[in-house]
Amino acid sequence: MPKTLAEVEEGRVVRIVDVVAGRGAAAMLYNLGLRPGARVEVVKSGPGPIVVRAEGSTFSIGRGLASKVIVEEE
Amino acid sequence: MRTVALAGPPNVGKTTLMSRLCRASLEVGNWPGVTVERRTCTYEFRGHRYRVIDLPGTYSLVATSEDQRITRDFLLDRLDERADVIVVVADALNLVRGVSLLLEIAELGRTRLVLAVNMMDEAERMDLDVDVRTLERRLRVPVVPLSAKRGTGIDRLKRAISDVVEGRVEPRPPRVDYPRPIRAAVRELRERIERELSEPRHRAEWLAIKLLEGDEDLLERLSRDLEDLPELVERIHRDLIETLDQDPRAAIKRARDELASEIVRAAISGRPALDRQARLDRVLTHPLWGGLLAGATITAVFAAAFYLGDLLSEPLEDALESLADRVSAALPEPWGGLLGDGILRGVGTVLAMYPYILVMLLLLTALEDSGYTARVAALLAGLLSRFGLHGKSVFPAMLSLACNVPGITGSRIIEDPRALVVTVLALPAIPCSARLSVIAYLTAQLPDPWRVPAAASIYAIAVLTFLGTAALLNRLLYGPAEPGLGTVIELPRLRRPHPGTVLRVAWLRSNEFLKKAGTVILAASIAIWALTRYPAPLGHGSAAELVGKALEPLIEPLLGLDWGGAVALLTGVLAKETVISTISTLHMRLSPDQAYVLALVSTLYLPCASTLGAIYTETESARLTALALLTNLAVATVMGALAHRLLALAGP
Repeated sequence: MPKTLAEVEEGRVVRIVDVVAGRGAAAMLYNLGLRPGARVEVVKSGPGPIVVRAEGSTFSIGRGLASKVIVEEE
Repeated sequence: MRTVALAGPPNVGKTTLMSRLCRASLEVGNWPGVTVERRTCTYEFRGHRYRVIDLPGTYSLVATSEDQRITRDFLLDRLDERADVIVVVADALNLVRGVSLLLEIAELGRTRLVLAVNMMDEAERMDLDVDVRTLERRLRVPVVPLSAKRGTGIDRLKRAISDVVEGRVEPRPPRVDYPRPIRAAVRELRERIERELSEPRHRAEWLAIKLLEGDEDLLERLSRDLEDLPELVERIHRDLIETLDQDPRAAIKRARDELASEIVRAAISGRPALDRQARLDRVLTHPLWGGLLAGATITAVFAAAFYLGDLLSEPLEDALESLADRVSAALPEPWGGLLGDGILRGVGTVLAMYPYILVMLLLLTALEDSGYTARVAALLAGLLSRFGLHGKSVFPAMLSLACNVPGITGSRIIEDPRALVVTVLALPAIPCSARLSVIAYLTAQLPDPWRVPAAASIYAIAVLTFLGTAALLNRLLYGPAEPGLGTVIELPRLRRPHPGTVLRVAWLRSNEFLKKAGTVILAASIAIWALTRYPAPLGHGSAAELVGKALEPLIEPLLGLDWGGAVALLTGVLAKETVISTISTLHMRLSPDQAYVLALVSTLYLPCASTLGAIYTETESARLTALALLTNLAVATVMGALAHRLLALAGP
């Protein structure tokens, strides 16, 4: 069942399926390793920005952008 | 001279490593034509001189930002310099990223590589073991474990660098094995590029890979000589999506990452315990708890800066003052006046701000080094990105409250180049401490219950102007803001700040301010002195007065100020605090309305000369500097006229 990164529970590991953000934001996420196929761990869901860990780096993502990242739980 | 380039992802400690390699001789500048910081330094090893160039931190060589474009162009020899060795710096706790970048650089045919595994001390503390031999065997590249923070492994790195330069060691990094359809596509593109653009084979191959990875900047450049290239790439791309059933960009990156993580997995044992970090991050990025903590931290920084700054600044100010008095008494006119009243007093007022700036820079650098800055930025990113700013814009804005110059140079911590430019151009709206003294002086002329609210309203208007100007400039320069773009922020590991690094970086940053005091502000002080003194002293027909009187017909109806106000504003362009001395020299009498309008306008209008200088150095663009100047002037005029009208309406 696909959902967005903003809806994932804390501590879960998910796989990114698609990024439906604007060009600039999508390119930026892609560049940081947050691209389709990547496994990310949600360190913090809410409130406030979403914090995820991917490939050993930690990122904070605004809720608005996180809700444009489609993921599926493993 | 031998050239060593440092490459690596952001936040792996390249700057610290650099200061360890060279000790002194660090030079900070900009890369040609862009606002990205360029650091070089030199060291000697076994009778040879080495020049170290710090390439902008980058995760990959696909250019999606200015930083990455520079790193890529440098490695492609497009920037008129060439590295004899490339040292890829990796974080021991996140080796895959560094190794993947190394493989990507190797693809380019640049095989004179050394892998520096930094932060070994932190890895040890977290019980993570890195087997250097296994890494070396698999990567066939010299691997040096080190800790730039502690200064261990530096000599070993220098040895490895010289081994590679002198050919004692010949690195032969492995090639990434791409899926067959990608290999075929790369071959097709490579043959075209090789044949028609006469590029050497390995470079043509690399260009082909990058085109498939979606590097639009490269595509645009190559299409200038190869017109049908976009169509060809587009067709191959489409075919690949069909055969691979996934985006070829992802497939290429994945193949590289898989090789990298396979190599790393073989070399490390133990798993870093990052749970404590995660727990901390949950609190630090929480809107309420994290917000309170950020508020408290920022307040503490200001309190410390003003408390310690006062302590240091008062004796300095007194000393300069008495020196100025003595000099102007001792020397014959006009030299005594020029040196004492013009230069020493002018430069002195600005120098007296140095202690505040130094304390603030020390504290903010310590926060940056600890990784906390990124957490505060993460909290504010959502709000600030609406105005085209970056979460980290808050730190230059804070520094700007002391002085705009270090605020503008400090904007370099912002990773997004667009937000960096917008921040730099909008910052002059933030009232610095010089303007604080003007605001305090002028609002003191208001009747009692209105003083504090008047001063506070000017600050509020200034902050709103900062945000408004940023939004406006962002729209003007880059079109409608893309929501969410500025809200992705990497959170580096939290750690204890390293005193040596903090001192060094704060010192370097504050030096830029001292340099400005010695150049722009010096020139400005002489100019003010001359303008208010010739052909006759101020009040008796000086040049400044004549210009002020010429401006009166313009400024009177608009702002309700007379020629004296115009002179005050004019001299304030050179340094804002001179507004006060001009008012007192001219014995101006201001009505409360006039005092408020003058305070507001002198806060917002043209940035002072040294700020303009800083904007120009930072953006390297006369167009952008002029844009900052014009927006500020326009906004100040509108706000001042509005305040004048409203006050006139409100009553006598």
